[in-house]
Amino acid sequence: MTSNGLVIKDLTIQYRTARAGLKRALQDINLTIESGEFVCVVGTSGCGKTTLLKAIDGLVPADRGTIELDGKQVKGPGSNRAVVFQAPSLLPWRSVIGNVTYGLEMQNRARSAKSKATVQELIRLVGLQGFERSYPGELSGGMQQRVNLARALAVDPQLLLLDEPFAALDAQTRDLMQSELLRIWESTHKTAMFITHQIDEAIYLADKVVVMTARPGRIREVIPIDLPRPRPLSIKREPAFVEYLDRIWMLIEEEGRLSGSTAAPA
Amino acid sequence: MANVMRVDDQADLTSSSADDQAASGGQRAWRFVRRHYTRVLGLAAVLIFLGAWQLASDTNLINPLFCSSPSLIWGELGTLISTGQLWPNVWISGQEFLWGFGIAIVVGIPLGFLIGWYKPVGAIFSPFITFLNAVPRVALLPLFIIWVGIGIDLKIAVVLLGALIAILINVVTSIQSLDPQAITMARSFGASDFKIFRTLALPGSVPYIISGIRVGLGHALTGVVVGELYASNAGIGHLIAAAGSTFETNLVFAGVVIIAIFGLIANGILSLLEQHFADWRQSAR
Repeated sequence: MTSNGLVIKDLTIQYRTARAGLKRALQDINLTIESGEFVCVVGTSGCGKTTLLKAIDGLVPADRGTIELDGKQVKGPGSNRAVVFQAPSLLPWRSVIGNVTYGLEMQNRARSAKSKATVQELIRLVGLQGFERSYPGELSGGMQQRVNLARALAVDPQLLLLDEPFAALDAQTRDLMQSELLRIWESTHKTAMFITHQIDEAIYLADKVVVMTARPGRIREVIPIDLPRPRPLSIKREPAFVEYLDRIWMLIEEEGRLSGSTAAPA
Repeated sequence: MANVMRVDDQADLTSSSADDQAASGGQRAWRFVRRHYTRVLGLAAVLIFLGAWQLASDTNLINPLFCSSPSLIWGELGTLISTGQLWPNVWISGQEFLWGFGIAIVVGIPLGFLIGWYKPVGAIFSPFITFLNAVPRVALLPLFIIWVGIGIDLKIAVVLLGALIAILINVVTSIQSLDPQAITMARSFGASDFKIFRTLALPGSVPYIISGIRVGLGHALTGVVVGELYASNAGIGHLIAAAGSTFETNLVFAGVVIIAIFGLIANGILSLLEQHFADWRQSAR
């Protein structure tokens, strides 16, 4: 056991565009996520949030800097991380059980009795008992995201990466899924990094909120959220919550105005 | 008077109860018709068409020598069976079809996967596929005759080429239309290329493969008939060609009916296959 959790040092990622040549998606990102912590990353679209998540998952290579999880450097996708994607990306020909098992299967771990028990338990945990044999086409958007979440949790990752998983849901379902996510997270004690552009979602979920700025993507500020847990949804109307909301709003608005006046429209 | 009345009463009684039965029977029939009205309508149209054809032919409104009639065709089919002409010809055509179509499936599916999966392979093959797809395969018949003669090989080659292109194009499309997000998802779980192929590409391509086979089936049947019409000494197409040149209209129609039955059976088998693979599709509705 060396240093616990996720440590990102001086991470820079570039990509090549047809018109503008080399562009920086991320520049000099330094971020530490403690083991068991829930961190949310907010920022305007195009600030590199998703690139950061993909880099941590090992899907995008770093041009400079390092990413370490529990002392081990990230070089590619690994079983100690799992992603909950924005699109559920469920396989329509597999039942709920088949989809939740998918990640385990890719890692050759699906056959053990322990895995089978885990899958059953997770389906119950995300509230899909009774739907084990259903196909994705029969499920609502919220239920599909529950399957997506269970699939990621099934591989028992140390770090759970969530890429705007509730962005496509309607407002009520989104609220419900946020509190469901907290309930599930509290019972699993995973380290979590959650990407979103919804500030209230970030504050409600997070131990700390990372505010990013765009072009190139940098960390503007890291704001610890000192709200008691477990958090009921009603906490969103409390003064302390609204204060956080204002503060983060100001940071992003300021950034939006700055980039609006300096950067060319994308 | 009273007597008559009573008889009338009885008559009324019996007739009314008969009416009841007729009404409920009629209602049942009506309900059946309403539930299956598209089928009933279709069947009725076919029966009326056949009846009109028969009638027009019987009354010499149309010349049976040119247009035949349902009963004449039926009789001709009976003759074909009783003289033992039917089965050898069906067997020849069936062999041509099964060999050509079978090879097209066995070659087309894996080759399609290779072309779709590996970009260089696709780059090498796609000009040829585009060319062969653009050229009506019939135009290549004279070449095939020079190469393999007019025996069963010729028809196998024509069937094979016709069906193969259709199957290839569909399988390649299935790989190209794979959901990139699903592939990213699989990669994030550390999936190998082979596993992505087995768990995403293969099951995802099933509907495309089946529709490729369906299109290929049409090409294959056309291939059998055209090949036999053009150059052959046996088979249903040959039967039709020979009958046509000797003015045996009834026999021509009988041949057409046999080919239609052929196609219907093949389509039926394909539909069963489709249903077998489409469980999740149906439950998704």
